[in-house]
Amino acid sequence: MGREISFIHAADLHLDSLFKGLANTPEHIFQEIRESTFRALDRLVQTAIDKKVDFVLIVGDLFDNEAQSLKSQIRLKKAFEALNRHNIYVYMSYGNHDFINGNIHPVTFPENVFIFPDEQVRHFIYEKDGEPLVAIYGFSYENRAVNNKKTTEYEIQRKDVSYHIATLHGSLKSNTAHDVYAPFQLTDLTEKDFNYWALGHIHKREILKENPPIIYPGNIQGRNRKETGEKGCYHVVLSESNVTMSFIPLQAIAFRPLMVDVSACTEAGQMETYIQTALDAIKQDTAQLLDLTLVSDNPKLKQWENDKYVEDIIELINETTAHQQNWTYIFRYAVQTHVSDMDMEQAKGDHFIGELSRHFDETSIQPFMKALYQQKSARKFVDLLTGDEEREVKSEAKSLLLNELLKE
Amino acid sequence: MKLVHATIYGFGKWIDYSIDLSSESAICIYGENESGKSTLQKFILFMLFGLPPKKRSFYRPKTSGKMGGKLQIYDPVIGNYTIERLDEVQNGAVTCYTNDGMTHDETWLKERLQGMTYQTYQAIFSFSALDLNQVQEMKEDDLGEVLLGIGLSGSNNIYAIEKKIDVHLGELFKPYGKKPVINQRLESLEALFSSLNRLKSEETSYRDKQETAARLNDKIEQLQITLKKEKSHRFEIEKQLHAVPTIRDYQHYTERLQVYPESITFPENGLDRLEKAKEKLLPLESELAVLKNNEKRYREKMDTLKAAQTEDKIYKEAVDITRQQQTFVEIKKSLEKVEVTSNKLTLQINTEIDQLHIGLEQTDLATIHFPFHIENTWQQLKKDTDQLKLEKDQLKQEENELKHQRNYLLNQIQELDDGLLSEEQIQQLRDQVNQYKEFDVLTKIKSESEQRERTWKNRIAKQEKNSRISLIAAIILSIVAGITAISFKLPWLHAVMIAFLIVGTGTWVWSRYTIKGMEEMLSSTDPQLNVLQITKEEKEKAERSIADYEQNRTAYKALKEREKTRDIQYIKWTEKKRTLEEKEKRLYEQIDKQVKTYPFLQYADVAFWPEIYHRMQRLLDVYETYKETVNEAKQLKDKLDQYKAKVIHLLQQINKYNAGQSWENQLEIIAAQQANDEETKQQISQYESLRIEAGDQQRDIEQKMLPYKKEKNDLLASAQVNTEDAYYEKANQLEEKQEIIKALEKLRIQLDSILPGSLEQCFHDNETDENKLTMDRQQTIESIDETEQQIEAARQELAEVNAALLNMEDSESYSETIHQYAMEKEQLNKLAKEWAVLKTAKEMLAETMRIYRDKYLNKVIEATSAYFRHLTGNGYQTVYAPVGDQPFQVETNDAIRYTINELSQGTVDQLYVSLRMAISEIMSEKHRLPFIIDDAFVHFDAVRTKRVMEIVESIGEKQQIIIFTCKKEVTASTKHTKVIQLADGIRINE
Repeated sequence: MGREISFIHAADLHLDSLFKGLANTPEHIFQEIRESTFRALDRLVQTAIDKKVDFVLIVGDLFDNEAQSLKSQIRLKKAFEALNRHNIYVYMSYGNHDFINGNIHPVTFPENVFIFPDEQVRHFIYEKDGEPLVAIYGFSYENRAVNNKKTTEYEIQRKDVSYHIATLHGSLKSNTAHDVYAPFQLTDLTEKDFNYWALGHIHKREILKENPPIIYPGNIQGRNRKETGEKGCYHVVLSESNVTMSFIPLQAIAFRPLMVDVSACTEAGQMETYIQTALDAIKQDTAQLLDLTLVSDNPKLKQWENDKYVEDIIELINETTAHQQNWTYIFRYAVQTHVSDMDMEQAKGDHFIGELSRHFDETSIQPFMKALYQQKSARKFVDLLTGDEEREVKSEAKSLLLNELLKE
Repeated sequence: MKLVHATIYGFGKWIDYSIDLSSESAICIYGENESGKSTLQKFILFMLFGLPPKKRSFYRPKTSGKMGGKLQIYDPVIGNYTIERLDEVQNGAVTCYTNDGMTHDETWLKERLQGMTYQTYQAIFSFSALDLNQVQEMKEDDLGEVLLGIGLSGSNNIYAIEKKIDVHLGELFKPYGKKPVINQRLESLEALFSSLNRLKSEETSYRDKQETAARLNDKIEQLQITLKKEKSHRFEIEKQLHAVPTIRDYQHYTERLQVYPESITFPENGLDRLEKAKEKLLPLESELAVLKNNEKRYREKMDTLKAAQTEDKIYKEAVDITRQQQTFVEIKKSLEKVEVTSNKLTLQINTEIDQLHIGLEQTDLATIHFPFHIENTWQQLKKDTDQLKLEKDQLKQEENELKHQRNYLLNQIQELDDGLLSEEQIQQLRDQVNQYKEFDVLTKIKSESEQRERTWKNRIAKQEKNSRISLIAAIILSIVAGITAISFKLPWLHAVMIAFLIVGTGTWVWSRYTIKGMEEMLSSTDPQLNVLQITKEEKEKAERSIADYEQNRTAYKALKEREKTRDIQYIKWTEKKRTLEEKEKRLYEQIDKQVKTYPFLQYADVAFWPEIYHRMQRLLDVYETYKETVNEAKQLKDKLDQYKAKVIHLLQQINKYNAGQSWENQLEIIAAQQANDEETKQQISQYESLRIEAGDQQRDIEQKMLPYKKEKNDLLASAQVNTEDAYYEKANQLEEKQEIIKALEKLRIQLDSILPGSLEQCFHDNETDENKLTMDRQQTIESIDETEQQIEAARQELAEVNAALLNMEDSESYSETIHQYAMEKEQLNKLAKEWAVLKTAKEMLAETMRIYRDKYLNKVIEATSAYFRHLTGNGYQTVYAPVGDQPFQVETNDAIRYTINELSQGTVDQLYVSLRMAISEIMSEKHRLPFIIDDAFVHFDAVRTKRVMEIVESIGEKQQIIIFTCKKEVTASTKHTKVIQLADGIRINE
């Protein structure tokens, strides 16, 4: 038949979902962050319209049931309506975050939207000029988790259509970094004769295989410091003989790690220049939230941190950069000094510091925490420390004390 | 571990310097200030622990390129080894050389140092005056704590750290606080949380609301179907109800139709035709009746009028009287007027008489007659009297004047005569005047001569001056000429000189002479004046007196002349007076004669007689007129009386006389009688003509009526009736029947349109069911109303729900709040972690202190006690470590305990030193590091210095101890100490 089709493949919109690690951001940035998932969605819609695609695939996790707002539903509906005005179809499924039974705000979407209604793998036929052209397969999560292997259910149903596209919200069996849902192995997919595997669930974009394409588009807007860099969707053009995929960034705000070496600084104030220089060097086409790591071989850095100099400087920098057109905002910072073997040595001594060091190593901090973590009202809002966090707290406390004790 | 030998390649001021530190006892390094003690101390530390690049560069010598050195160390386990550090080699890293020829790195050295670091070393094994200062600066309250800290760690900032952490913790969180950051945040989170829950539950209602909306839509649809049904039902019922009256009408008409006969004979259009005939007849008949009636009335009227008519003779008499009436009215008016005039005249005459007031009566008037000349006579008399009086007055006046003149003249003469001066007096005055004139001439002459003298004097002065100048000039010239002559030896000039002298002297002498002459002349011309007695004013007064005298004399003479003239005038006047008296006598005689003739004149002065004449003449004229008027009145009255008699006669004839009636009334009655008679006559003739006309008209109408009567009779015959009423009844009957038939037809059509179908059906069903239908209709209307209300309510509700849905869709409150909440929570967790770090630090520190205390404190305190006892010369026996709330305490040898706050600063210093030394002693049990003291005892007196040095020496037996000092006393007070003089680096043995 040789007819060409084009579509957008996106997943994990997580509309209006909560951002992590963003404390104390200024009001306007907070508002932009809050709005960012929607802006990414708007860009998605605009891209679909601009590219004049035939349809849009959204493979699960459009929003979070846990913190589901009506706003996300309504904005989604409006986005679909915009697509409808351009005769662009939407094929979507629900994932582990927006599973059907947990949806508290069922909204009626316009007629261009086709939703896989249950956990049974089903298909929709996309017709172009009255001819059935594409079969789109998929399923939705009815409940929080789908643990069984779904790939076996994917079978090509209609022999009379040219293209078969499978949508699947799940992860590779081997990927244990995330919750494994609807687990599959790459061979499960390749052995079927689908033209395109549109995956969802993993937020990091990844092309598992080029031919046939098996793709995680990632989410469209980063939501914490681990979801860094450009985020967006794939624009796919399928023809009998060929397939082209191009990534299109959609994010409104990019998360970005930034490491600055301040070894050369002898005074805390000098750090500002170094950080500023590093900031200036960043290429900027969207607003950015920066995760700054300061590195130095001067142990004073730790002292500066304890004395809140670092915090002050960052606040200062943020004040100037956070109001630019494409603003940057340092939302988090960490300090690394290379001088750390001191502790080891000190632990050996009989002197007080040695004793202190040893005591740190031997003692759990849990009992100290009760005053706050068990407090009646705090208990409601303060998250209990994880093992990692506990270790972190301990090491920070130790370095604080040592720094203070050995201060000249 | 002992330091044996230090070799400095270059470090600060030290270059290529070596120092031997090997000794079995303590070492005292002496140097004055700035001699490099501290640098040396730093060098040792550098060798042992290294230095960061910045510090190294600080100690890089200015004069040498090398920086670094080596230190030989004795270790009881390993033996001697040397460590070497060079700034430029491996970033100041250490190289250790052991006796076995091996080299080792930093790690190896650290093992030797057994976990000792730069900082810990400084804290424990090295102390200086500076540390003591810090202790002295401590607040009293803190002192015990600080000392305890020192006792534990050698570091004096543990307490500060503890406090700092506490403050931070307090700022972050207090379990029951409000202010700290975390507490505040918890509070705001609490608020956010509750608003979040509220918003969430609001949003949750979205689903319910949507369901409600759907349900409402269904309900409205259902209700609308019901409504439609109900409405059509109502329509059915209403149609039937609508038909009920029509059906009833139909039945009614059908019944009525049965009453009428099958057929009714009646002429075609009979009613109209009869009506038309009647219409024509009726006016004619009524007209005829009117005419007949009129004729009869006219006749009656005429009879009545004729009976009421009066006799003709009387009528004529009345006419006569009436005709004359106007004339007599005028006569009467004239009479009245004449009477008024006569009255007026009488009044006038009386008034006039009264005004004259000359004793006249009206009756006198008839007798008085004036002859034609009397007026002139009276006039003349009046004039003469006036003339006489005038002349008498003039005479009198002249007399007065003459008398007056005479008196005046006499006075004047007397006066002048008194004021005249005597002849002698006049002569004296004239002499005075002459004397003055003489003196005046003399004065003028004198003033002229004085003027001349002044001119001369001037001229003399001038001449004198000129002569003097020329004399001096001549002398000068002669001197000049003399000198010149002598100088130039010109002998002729001598002559010139003499010539000048002579000329000059000559001139001067001449002028002197002339001046003298002139002066003589002046003194001779000087006339002398007599003294004058008479002033100018006196002279003028005398002149005036003389002039007055002359004038008065002339006036006196004139007055004498005038006195004579007056006397002549007086004689003339006496003559005039006699003539006038004669004339007066004659005039009075004439007046008396007139008064006798007309006695009334006696009452008036002659002067008024002409006026009396005129007024009397006028009065007499009026009186004449009055007489005439009285005559006229009499005539008029006679005529009037005749006419009145005639009137009374007539009234008596017609029996209308009444003695009380006024004349005017009587006349009116007669006039009325006459008018009445005339009217009656006219009416009779009018009625007669009317009567005749009516008769003619009756005949015309009867003729016209004939054809219509025939038509009417024909119609009645055709309808087979005799009377007109019957005819009409029959016509009505026919009309009613036709109307019923028509109505029936109309109803049939109506019913057919309302209820198509058989009519009979309708007749039977509806008649009985009307009430039921009405009730049904009412019920249906009510239920429609209800349904409509339900729909309206449902719509209202739906609109509200839809608005709420829309509102919810637009609202971002929940979304915003949940983000806000998440961020706040994030913030809280961050702060919580910060708190956790601080809390951990605090607790760890506290616990370590407790452990450390348990482990070492007793030993340290024991050692401290020993040192303290020694230092205070057994002043204090024991030191007690703090227990619980109990702070540091010391006990004197007489067993009295003091807390450290009660101790003097010096004692505290000693306690501090004891503590530091005790710690280093205890610590050195493991570390065995050399103890470095940098002039810590600088403020101690000689006794105490000696004691401390004893202690130092005793320590020195067990452990290497190096004391840096700038005090000779320190070196002096040592016994077994090796003293190194720094100045020259020469070793000095004791």
